[in-house]
Amino acid sequence: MKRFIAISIVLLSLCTPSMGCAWIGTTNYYMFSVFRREQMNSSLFADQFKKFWEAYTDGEVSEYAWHEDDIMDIAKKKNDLEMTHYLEHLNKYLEISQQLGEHWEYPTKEQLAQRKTDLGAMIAQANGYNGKRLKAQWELLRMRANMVLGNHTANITQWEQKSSKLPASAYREMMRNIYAGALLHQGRRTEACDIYAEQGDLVSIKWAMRKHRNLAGIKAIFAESPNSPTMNYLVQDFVNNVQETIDSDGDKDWIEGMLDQRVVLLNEANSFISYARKVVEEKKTQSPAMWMAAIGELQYLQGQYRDAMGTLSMAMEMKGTERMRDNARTIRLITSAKANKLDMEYTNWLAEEMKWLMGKIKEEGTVNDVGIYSNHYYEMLVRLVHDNLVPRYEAAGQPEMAAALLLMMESGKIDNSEAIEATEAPTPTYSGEYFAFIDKMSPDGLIAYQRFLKSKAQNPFEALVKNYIEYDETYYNDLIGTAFLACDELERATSYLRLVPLSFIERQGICPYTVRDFTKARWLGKQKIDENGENPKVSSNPKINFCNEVLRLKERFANATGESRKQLAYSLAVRYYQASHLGDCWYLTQYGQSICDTIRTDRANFIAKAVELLEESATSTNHELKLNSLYGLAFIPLDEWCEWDYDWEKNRYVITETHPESQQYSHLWALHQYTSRSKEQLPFYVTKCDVLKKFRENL
Amino acid sequence: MKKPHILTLLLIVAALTNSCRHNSTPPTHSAYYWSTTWESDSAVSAFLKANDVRKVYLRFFDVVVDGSGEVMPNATVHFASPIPAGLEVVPTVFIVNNCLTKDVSHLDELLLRRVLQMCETHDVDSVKEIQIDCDWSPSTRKTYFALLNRLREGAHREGLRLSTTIRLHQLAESPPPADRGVLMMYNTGDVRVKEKNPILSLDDIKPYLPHLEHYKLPLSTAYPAFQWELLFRGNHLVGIMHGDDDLPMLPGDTIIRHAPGLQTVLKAKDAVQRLHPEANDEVILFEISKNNIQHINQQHYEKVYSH
Repeated sequence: MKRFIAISIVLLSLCTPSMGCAWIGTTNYYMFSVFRREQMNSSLFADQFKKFWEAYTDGEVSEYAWHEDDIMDIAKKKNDLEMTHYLEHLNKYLEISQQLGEHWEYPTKEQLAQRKTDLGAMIAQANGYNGKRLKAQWELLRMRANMVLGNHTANITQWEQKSSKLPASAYREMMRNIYAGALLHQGRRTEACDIYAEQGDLVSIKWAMRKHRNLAGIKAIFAESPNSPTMNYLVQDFVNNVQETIDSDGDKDWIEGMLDQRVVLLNEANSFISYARKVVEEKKTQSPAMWMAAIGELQYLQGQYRDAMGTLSMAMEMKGTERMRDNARTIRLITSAKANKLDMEYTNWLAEEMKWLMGKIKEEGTVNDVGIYSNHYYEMLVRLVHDNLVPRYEAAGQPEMAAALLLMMESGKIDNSEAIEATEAPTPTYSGEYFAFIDKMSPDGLIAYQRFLKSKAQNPFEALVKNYIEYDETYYNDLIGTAFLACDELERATSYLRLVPLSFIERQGICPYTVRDFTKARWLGKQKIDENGENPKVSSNPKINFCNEVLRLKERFANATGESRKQLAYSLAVRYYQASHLGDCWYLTQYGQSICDTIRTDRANFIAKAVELLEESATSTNHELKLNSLYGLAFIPLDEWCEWDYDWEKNRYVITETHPESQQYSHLWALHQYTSRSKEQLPFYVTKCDVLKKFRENL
Repeated sequence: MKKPHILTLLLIVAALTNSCRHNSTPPTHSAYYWSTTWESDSAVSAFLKANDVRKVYLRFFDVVVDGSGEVMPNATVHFASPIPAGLEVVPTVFIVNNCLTKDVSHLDELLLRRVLQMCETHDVDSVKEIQIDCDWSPSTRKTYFALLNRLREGAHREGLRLSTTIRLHQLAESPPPADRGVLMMYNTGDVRVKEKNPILSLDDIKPYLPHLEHYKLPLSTAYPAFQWELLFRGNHLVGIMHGDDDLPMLPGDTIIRHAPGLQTVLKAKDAVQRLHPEANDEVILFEISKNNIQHINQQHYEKVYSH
């Protein structure tokens, strides 16, 4: 029973009442997007440099970083002296730039002098280069060296007089980027940011504009240059910050400390709305669609759904980039789910708009540098479905449609991110938001849902959603049968479970646990299994076996009297407890086990049933039956008989408080009384029981 | 009654001698330099000379928790000029308090090695002491004191003393394990409160003064010589303005300039003189980077030093 103590403590300390363990991912993605968000994290011109090195190395190497030596070897093999000479200096520069960050190792005087010498040599070599092939590379290296040396004026002169006239290339763009940095050093912030914006270098804009990420900053930049590309960043940043502030309840530490966003208070958001209206009216902006969409989203965030719909519809018709108008349309689609009744007229419109959004998801693609999936329009679909449509359909008494929407999102057919190359039938899924949702349904609710999934779509929206869904009859039969079993409706359970083939059980995650025997009392020992081995072959459906056996025992129990009734009560108690969330055979009533599991109010309370039956069997005159029944009652953690805490001095758990009023205390008391007085030989699990020992010590 | 012990007599004599010195010996003039670039241009040089400043507490770097949760150096000072001959430098490192919630078991070694290397690289050879600045709290005190203990051992091995800043509220706590402390007689108020001077207010320092009299760590005192321009929107502090267009403004915004009143500084200095006179043996001004020198009247410096 030692494990019994440890588990009880874990259960006590970690569980929260009535909470299942279901991981829910982020769904409140930022809605405002007038430029691709991955620009905030990506490295500039990476693709172009990749192509260059791929071409140079005949496809052998694509990334320069980490492959400097490989590329040098290839250049040497080619006997390309011009390239090897350039690479020597490039590698030296990269080494120096690596050292420039803040490190605990500080350079020596000699290292600093060497650095200066190396940078000077680079500049001299660049000045002396008369070739054509690597001209852009050498010019870039010169600007980089001057940047490190703080020669910003030299870089401005070089760009304006020479480098800007070079043919277009990634190297020239890098030089322009350094030129922007030099402008920034000289206080020419807006000019610098306009270059960054044209290059999509949002990382630099974010730094340069770090003090302008507010309405005052937006006004200041607009006054200087109303069509500055920087405005796109500032407006997008502002609106998304308002969203984050509302979504995170203004939690400053989280928003500013963890997310690097800014808290924007409501009065500032409203002042922005007034200002944005003025901007649109004055017609100085070439992007009224962006400003109007910003107003629309802020109205949406403040719950003004009808106003937001009007504003966003207007934004869609205004001037701006195509993405700005798409942005307005996407936000309008999300808003619509709050602004309309779920009637035929709306759902027909919704179906068309969702089709458009699915098209945008495909168009946006899954481009990113580091393999992390990021598709703005897919994220908007997530927000639309999870945050808006599912709660609406649930509240409207249509849980079937809500569940179908969640299933659509998990189908892997929309974004293709979870596509599985299946050569055999996939393992059925019993986790995620969809499963958490249908697992809450009653057995009759599940039957209605199954009927809904099998039926022909009643309207275009339902048809669109069902188009993404694959229906597996066995999965739902098993689910319904299991739900009936958990509700102790065993005949109805059997009628569904017998439709489930054994091959289906063998593919389920619970399969390894099905070797556990529900006829063995949990309190007399835990049944261990090999959780990491292959799924065992199943010769019969254990859930059907359970139903048949319990039905048979219940029938006999109803008609029995005296000692045989008490024996049957014990047998039933053993089975009910094993099938509960605390039993070894939890797989009979659920698809996974967690320390957060609790007694579900929408299912039968098998633990209470077991206790009631054990209380009856404990009245037996048969020593073994009585002892086992009392032991079982003391084992079941209905309400803890004491409080435990870890004693750091003694390095073990100690009892800090006892609860004589608890049921478990009275059950332990009964066990103590009986075993103290009994003249019979007591089994080892009683004589060695450390809980009983502790109980006695604390009497 | 026991006969006075010889050691007690010696201590009394020493105390009397010390007390006489307070009335006759002029205090050492020192200053903090708290910028990211050390630039001993004509203004700074002239200031040092005019005020006979022989010692500068130069902020070398900060220690912060970086984006990946590592304790790292940050904002390291850039030496744009050499250190003038004869000027004693006290390398000063500011440790952000949240670093003390991380693993700092090797921070003493890393920090000391970096400081020494910076001194060697930039020919800062007149170093006798290093200083740690940290706004530690009761929850981080234990870690901070353990760090100082290790750091002091390391500094002593290098023939250096260790000092630490003491904020007024820290006077009520037991003193940190350092060779001496510098009492910060500035930043006494809440910068977000529009109506009060956050740089130095006598009302703010009053509650802490009783702890000064018997404070068991040799002290010097640093007095304010800087000003702040704070941008307020309504009653909400937007930020500190570091230049005229540093922060964008809206109509109705107000800029509040706070500078320590000379009379207030002198009264604070008097209070220190009464309660813990040796804390005025060295008078340190905070701070003398180029921007500040240009904004504060030279008379202010002179009076704080000579009062």
